[in-house]
Amino acid sequence: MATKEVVTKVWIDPGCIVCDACETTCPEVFEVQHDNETCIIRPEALQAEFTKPITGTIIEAAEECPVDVIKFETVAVEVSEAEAAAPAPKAGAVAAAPAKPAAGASPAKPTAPPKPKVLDPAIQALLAATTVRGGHVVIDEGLRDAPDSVKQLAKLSPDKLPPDARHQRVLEKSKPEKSGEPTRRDVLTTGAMVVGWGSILAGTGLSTLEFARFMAPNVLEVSDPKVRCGALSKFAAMAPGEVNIDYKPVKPSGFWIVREEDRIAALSIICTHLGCIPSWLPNDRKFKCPCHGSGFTQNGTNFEGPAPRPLERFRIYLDGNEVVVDRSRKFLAMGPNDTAAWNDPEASIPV
Amino acid sequence: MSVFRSVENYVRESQIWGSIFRHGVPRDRRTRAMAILSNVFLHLHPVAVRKSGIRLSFTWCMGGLTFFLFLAETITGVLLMFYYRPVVEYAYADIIGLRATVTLGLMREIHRWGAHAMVIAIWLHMLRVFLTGSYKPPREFNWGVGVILLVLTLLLSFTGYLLPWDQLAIWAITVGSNMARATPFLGHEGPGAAILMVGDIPLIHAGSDARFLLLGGTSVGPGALLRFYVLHCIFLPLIAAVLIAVHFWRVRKDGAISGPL
Repeated sequence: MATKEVVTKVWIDPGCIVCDACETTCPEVFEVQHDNETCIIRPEALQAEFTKPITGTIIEAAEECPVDVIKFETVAVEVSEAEAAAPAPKAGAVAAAPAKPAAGASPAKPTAPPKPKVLDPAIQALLAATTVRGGHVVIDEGLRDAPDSVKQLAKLSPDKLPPDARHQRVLEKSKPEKSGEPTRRDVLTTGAMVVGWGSILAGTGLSTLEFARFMAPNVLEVSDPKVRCGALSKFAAMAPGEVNIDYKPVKPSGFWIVREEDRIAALSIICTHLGCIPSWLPNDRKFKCPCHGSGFTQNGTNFEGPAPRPLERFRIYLDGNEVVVDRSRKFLAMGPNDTAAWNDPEASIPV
Repeated sequence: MSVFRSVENYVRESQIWGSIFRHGVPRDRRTRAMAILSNVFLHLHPVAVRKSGIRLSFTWCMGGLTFFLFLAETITGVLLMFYYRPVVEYAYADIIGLRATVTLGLMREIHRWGAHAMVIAIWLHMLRVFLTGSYKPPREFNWGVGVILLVLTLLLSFTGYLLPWDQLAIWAITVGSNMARATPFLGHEGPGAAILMVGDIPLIHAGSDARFLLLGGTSVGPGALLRFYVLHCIFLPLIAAVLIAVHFWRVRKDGAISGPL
């Protein structure tokens, strides 16, 4: 006599996402309840006599469930040869499934009569754990007759349970049969991976480079560093020790034109301490910085406060009879007594 | 394959991977469920869709195309913000500069054509949803969200229209915003505005109506440019992004893509 597997019990674990797939496949057993956000087993389908004839459809629905919450229990029943051959290939495949590992595990008894299917211990443990955690009412009764090992497992936290059996089987199947010559599939898969990931990486890299290039402007807006300040006679008429403050507001960086004994020079308005803007105090005859009190004499020499060196001087020259200040070149005195740079011919205009 | 396997293992065991994907390798039921639940993108996307529902002849892919264009507009728009100044003195010069002097300033043309394409795509998406009856319960809420998204897209297009600050832009927005004059009660030339009087003093006049608030002035000027820039770059895209998330989430909650009638 041959046997075939029939479903005697079907239930739904918590975690249903209400996707309608099971009801579409097997409306006799499953009913989607959108209001309760779960699927349920129709009451009449809780009886084994109802589920046995539609075993194939139930298994199909369980396999289609995207979150694998449909569970069922099968029993092998004896049927005539003709009947075993008759059912859909689906049912036949299921019936054959438990026979294979049995044959592999005990090759000594290949002709032993097939026993009633015992559930995978891992699945039993999961069911038991579900029950203990207040799971589905249908399997409440299940734990009472369960073996002690399963009762032990049921006390474990779900995290410590072994990986579920179905996935284990998939892993076994996906293991390479032999590790030797790469098969055609290996070569093609590797090639596809190289091409695919290569394209993604190349695209990402190229975009990053293009983004970097985009961020580098080709045209800048800068103001002319040269400022035309008018005829020399205006500054030659200043008395020695006088300061012209007309060009202090020039953006982005202004300057004072100061008259020394025998020359005029352009002093940057930036304090050499921390970059504030000092003011010319005509009565005290000094530049005074409001931030930290640095003081500079009329020719820019620092004499009080924290400023470490004199005010910087810009290049100044004559274009015809017109005074031009070029802020792109500076002459730096490194201390009150280190002012040799001021004697550069372009640092001042003799008057 | 072992090279890929070892690279995969190295990546998956790194601390960065563990910080982003906060579940283990999905090898059992719990972690496989967590892979979906703890990922915002997978969570937004339906777990299951009807095979018939994703046929190109059924969806036209127009919703997806609209979203793709939204992403493209966001990326190119952010890049354009690096070069564009919403001030009257610079706006037009910056647009010309993007074309003439900025490497890959082509980004601006992509942004403009993408905007036109997005308006077309969202209309076709709406037409498809109407023709397939996908607005019917339980999807009527999502139809409402979609209509708001349509209006937001049109407003994004309208506000972006002004930013080049050329004659076309200024006069188009002048004409467009003149419609706000006729807003019932809120536009100073609209019906009902004359009723809102306190004694002889009109509450709604050219300096207090909807158009005034929209333009930040009585004509299309510097205030309108800055206002439209902020609306275009921050205000409308933020609302649209939130509603797009709701839209996708509702597609999932309402039973995935609708089936053919």
